[in-house]
Amino acid sequence: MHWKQWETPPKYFRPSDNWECGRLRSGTPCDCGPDATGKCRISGNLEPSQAKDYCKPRRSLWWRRRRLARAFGLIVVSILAILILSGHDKEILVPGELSSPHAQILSHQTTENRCASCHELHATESVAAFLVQSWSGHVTDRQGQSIKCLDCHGQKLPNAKNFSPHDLPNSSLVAISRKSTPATRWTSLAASLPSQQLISADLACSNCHIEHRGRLNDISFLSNEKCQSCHTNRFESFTQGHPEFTDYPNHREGRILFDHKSHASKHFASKGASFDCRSCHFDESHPSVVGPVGRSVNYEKACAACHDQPLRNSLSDGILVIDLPSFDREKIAAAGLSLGAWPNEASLMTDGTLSPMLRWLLSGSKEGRAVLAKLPVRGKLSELSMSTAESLKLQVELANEIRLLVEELAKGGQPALQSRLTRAMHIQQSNIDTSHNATLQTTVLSNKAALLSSGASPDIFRAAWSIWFEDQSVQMTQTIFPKSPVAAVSFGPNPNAQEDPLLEKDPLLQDEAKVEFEKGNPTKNESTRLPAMSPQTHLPHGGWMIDQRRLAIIYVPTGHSDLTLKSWLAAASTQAATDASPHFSDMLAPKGMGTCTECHKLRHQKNEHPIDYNFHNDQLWQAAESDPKIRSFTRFRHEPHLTLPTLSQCTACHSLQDNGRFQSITLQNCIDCHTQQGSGNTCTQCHNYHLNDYHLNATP
Amino acid sequence: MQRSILQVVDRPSTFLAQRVTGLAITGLAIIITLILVWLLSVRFGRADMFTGYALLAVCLLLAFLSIRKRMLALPIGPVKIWLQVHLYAGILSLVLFVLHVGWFNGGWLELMLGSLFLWIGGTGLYLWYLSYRIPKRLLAVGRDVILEEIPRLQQQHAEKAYELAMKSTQLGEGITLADYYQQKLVPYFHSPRSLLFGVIPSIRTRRRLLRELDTLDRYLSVEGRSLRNQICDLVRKKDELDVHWAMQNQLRFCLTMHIVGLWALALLIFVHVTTVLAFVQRG
Repeated sequence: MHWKQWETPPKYFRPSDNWECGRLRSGTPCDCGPDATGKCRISGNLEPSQAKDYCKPRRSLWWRRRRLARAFGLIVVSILAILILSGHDKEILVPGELSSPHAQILSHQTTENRCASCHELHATESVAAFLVQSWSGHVTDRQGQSIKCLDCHGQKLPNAKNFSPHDLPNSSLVAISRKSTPATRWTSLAASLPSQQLISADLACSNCHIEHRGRLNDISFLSNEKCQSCHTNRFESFTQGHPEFTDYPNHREGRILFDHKSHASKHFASKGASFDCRSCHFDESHPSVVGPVGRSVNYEKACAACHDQPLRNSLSDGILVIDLPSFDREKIAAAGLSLGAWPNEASLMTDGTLSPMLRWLLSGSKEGRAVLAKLPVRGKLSELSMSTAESLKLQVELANEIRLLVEELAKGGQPALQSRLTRAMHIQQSNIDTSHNATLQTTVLSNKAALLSSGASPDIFRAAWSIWFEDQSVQMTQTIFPKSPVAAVSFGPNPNAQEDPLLEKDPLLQDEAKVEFEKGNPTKNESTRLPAMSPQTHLPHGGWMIDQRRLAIIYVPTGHSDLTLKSWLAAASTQAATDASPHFSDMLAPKGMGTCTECHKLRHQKNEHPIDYNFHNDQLWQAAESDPKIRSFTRFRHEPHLTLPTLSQCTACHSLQDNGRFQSITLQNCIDCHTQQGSGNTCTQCHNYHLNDYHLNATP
Repeated sequence: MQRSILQVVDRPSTFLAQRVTGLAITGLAIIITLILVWLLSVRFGRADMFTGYALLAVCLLLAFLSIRKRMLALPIGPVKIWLQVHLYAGILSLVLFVLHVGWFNGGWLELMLGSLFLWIGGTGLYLWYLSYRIPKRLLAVGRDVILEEIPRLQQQHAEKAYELAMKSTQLGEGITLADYYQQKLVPYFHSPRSLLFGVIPSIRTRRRLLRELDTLDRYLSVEGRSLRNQICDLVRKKDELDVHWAMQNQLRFCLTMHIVGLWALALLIFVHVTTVLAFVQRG
């Protein structure tokens, strides 16, 4: 039934009009109602006296409702305006509480400074000005906020400024993508989506780290799905589909060559000692339930008890820095050439092998490199032909270069030695245009390079020059050096000694002593004769000396962790990675320079990027690359695992095999506990997103 | 928001189809939204930006009902269709709001905006509920009348009751009916009902009055009883009108509450969007 069929059809109402009839409430409204201006259409036609009481139109509910809504809006705007104008604009615009770490850091800042800490908003700038600037197109940097993040986090994440996935440059990402084999081990909805291309470096920090979500919000959380949105090798979860570990963690063995098998079964067993993992891998100096587990404690704690004395013995002969080879003076003279000043003990036959250090020093000059290039490999002079004039001439040139070297060192002292060593490295690297080369040169030029020549007394070189080349008329002996009697000791000769009036009556300086000795009548001068010198007896604590028996300047290291020897070996390690010259690799060979390389792995693996060792960087010498600046793709902490009763013993995971290697950790070792309901299986539990180690072993 | 009882009773045959279609479209939109939000959350996308833009678009769609009401000449379909669109878009907007905001964690502007949105959304949902509950109750009352008619009808009933009461005095039965009218029915017919009745309409008063009128029978002749019956009928009609008045005023009040925050909401949305986009521009 339509309303028109009702018993009392309603009048025509206009609820959307601004006015309604004033008689509506009394139940007797007129049929036409007021006009749009609120005037009664009927009373307008009546006498004023009648019209006065006839009807007073009222505002309609529609109008009052709209007016109320506008008034409410005006109140809200007024409150906002008051707050903004009173300087509380930043407080009201804060979209939510900061996460707990940021809130703690900024808790002592004023609201203005808090905003400016993370946003490109000056403390004195109003939000209105900020909005105007943003909307007027004067945006200086779209990564402005991310750059603000790096003001604090940049030190820990130096490569985050790339604003690219994993902080890696595009070239690395492309290379990794090409290397990986796309695979989907489980067809989840997320995994079935096409891989997201985020090669272009336009990722802002806020893409993953969303702030203002409250104190309990974990802004560092990264979901597994997000990880797999880019990675081409996809799987459902850690427990289902994660690639099997490849020889983990054996492939990342450290730089200490330690044979657990022989130590356990042989060395410790022979001494009846307990081969306890904790004695070497637990650092008890740090307070912790189980102690920080490391690759190894230091040498003094772990090795010195057994290895210190053998090490000192192996180093007691010293390192040959400059050793004079022997040349056949007669044959050289027969060819019409002159050997020049050269010790008679080394003038009988052409023999000897140039030490690696001598070759390093010789390669520090253009002429030296030319001579080295003509010599047999590793400077083995016995392989030189003695019948050709060219070979004999080469021997003369070599002798000349060695003389010049000693003369240069005698004149220039430590700076000359450092210059020779570093120049050799520069020259060897000059043809390699790599970023690493630039880093290396910067390193070499640093103050750390001073370690290469530290401790070398200029007197040693002067004495050597004087003894070997300056006066060949004097017969050299092992026991006394009349002209420079103190030259044989490590402090070096004093060229002004004879001019010193205090030494005029020193018996060691009297010519009679030399004369009597040379006459073979030492009885008169028995008390003045000095015993024969050897590094073992005269230089047991390390230093520089002239070893006249070997016609060499030697350096005896002070023991384990000798800084000079470490700097030479570190430089050689870095050089050997890119330099084909054999003398650097010879230094790293077993017993090349002491027995360091028996325990320290100084050679780089093939394709291994040489680390900026900075000559004595601990990375090279320590068991693990424990540089906290390095954030590699995978991380693991032993401590939480060792608190579990089933894993409290190291052998629960690390079982030693017969071949001396440890049994590789398999995925199954971890899956037992790392389920979603168990210990968790998110990607970021074991993997870092932000990397600064470009050598990713894992396949994305 | 006024709905004829007959429109409810004699629901068009397509009502169910309309309801199913509306719910299906809304459900589909919600599912698509959830999928897109999930997609953006598992990728490196900004799900909050997406839900923000979607919410803004839905708010504009919601506002179109008001625009449609003002611009009657626009050939864009009847208001009742836009009302249906408004209802289902309102549901979608609440889903989007939850996805966009998650949970309040401070921030005065956001808190004001969110609270206002929830207030308007909540009153909207309550209005929807009332628009289906009230017609059924009014149907039970048995009459159909629009709110603007009620004062006139009440006036008519009051005058009729007065006439009947006066007529009873001419029957020679004394002033039984007139006296009762004077004491009990005049306040009933001429005074507005209580505020409690406006919120929870009740027939208690009507029952009491009818029971009391019944007890007057022993003092009334046949004609008097006839008049008493007519007065009882007017009491019932008056009560029905009061129920109408209460129910429809509930709708009006809720609609006012629904509308009152719209301008404030629009202004706060503008400030919010402007600020957010400015900060987004800065990375």
